[in-house]
Amino acid sequence: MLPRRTFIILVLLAVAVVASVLAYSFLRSQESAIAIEPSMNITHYELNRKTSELVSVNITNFSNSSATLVSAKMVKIQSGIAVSSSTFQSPFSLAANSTIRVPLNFKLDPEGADYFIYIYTSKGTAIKGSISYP
Amino acid sequence: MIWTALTTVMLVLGVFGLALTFYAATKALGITKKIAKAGMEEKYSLEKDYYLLSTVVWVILLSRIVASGMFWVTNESLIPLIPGAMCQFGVSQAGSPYSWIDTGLKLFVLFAYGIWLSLDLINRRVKGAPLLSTLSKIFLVLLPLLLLDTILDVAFYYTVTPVVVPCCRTVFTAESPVPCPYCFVFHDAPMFLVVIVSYGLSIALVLWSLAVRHYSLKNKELEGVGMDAIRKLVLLALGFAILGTIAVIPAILQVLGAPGFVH
Repeated sequence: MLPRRTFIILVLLAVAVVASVLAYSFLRSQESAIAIEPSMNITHYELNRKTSELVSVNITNFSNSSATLVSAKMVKIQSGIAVSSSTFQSPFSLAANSTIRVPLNFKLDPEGADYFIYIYTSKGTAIKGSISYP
Repeated sequence: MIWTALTTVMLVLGVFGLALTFYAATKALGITKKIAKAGMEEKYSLEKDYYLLSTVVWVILLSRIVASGMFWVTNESLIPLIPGAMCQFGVSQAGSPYSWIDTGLKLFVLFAYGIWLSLDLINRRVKGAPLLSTLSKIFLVLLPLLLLDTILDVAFYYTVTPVVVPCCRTVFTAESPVPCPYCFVFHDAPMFLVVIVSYGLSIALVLWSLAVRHYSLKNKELEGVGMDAIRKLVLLALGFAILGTIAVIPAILQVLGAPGFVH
């Protein structure tokens, strides 16, 4: 009776470890599988150092085709976890060879960290940038 | 030293633990030496001595277990006071090398201290204290660990200063296959704290039950009380394992960035 309970504990522990490792590996593989837009860049980061916030980013389109920006995500590099994300109520239209300001208001760790910023287009591709704070 | 309420408590617990450990060590040594040759009358006197020792050791071990939990809270509170520290990695850098050894030790001291506490608990329930000699010896075996644990706490909190330190961003980059454990658990996926603590306690309880089983099989007088204790310990361990398994679901959702878990 007692060894059976100990066995159940070990099985539960193994299940939790395997599930956590799989979830983290899935997350990393998802992030590395994102198709990055080669001709669109994040060219400016507006920070509010008093409130430790990423207020907005400027995105420049160097290509001859327009794009629609639908959502944004901020991943903390040290933990590999998406710490902030938002889906835009009204998507932003980014015309060819132009720059647009995208408000984000993402909270940053006041003690400091490095982040990847992903701005997703309606095609499923992403514009990637990175910042180190503070 | 960085004087805060928490570092002061850690330092006081360390010094207090050291003083009591030296007192208890001499008592335990005396009992271990005398018990084999003791007559009936001396045995009775040693039993009384043992009850005093047992009480002191309970105070020491419980204070060390409290210090083990407070260690993480204190380190977390030091992050804003150390320039460059973004997580506990930076705090450990500032208190290096004591901090790193102390961190490693803190992960398993509970397992060791709990063995003594659970054995003493069943020993107190049986007339004649059959584990008197064994528990005195186990305490002497635990002594180096106890001294190391206490001395490292005192050394770490006494020497940590607000120096500029490189933090985890120097080690854990975008290319690292594993995340910074401190950023991951303490800042970005705190539900994993519940998972780790629950499974840690579950494993500890199973280990303690194995120790109780070992000594219950050796001592016939302990059999009844021992089996009852094993049943309770394993049941509690199962409870914590189930709690850990339930907590792993929101923890994984937090990692995957499910809606409601991300700002």
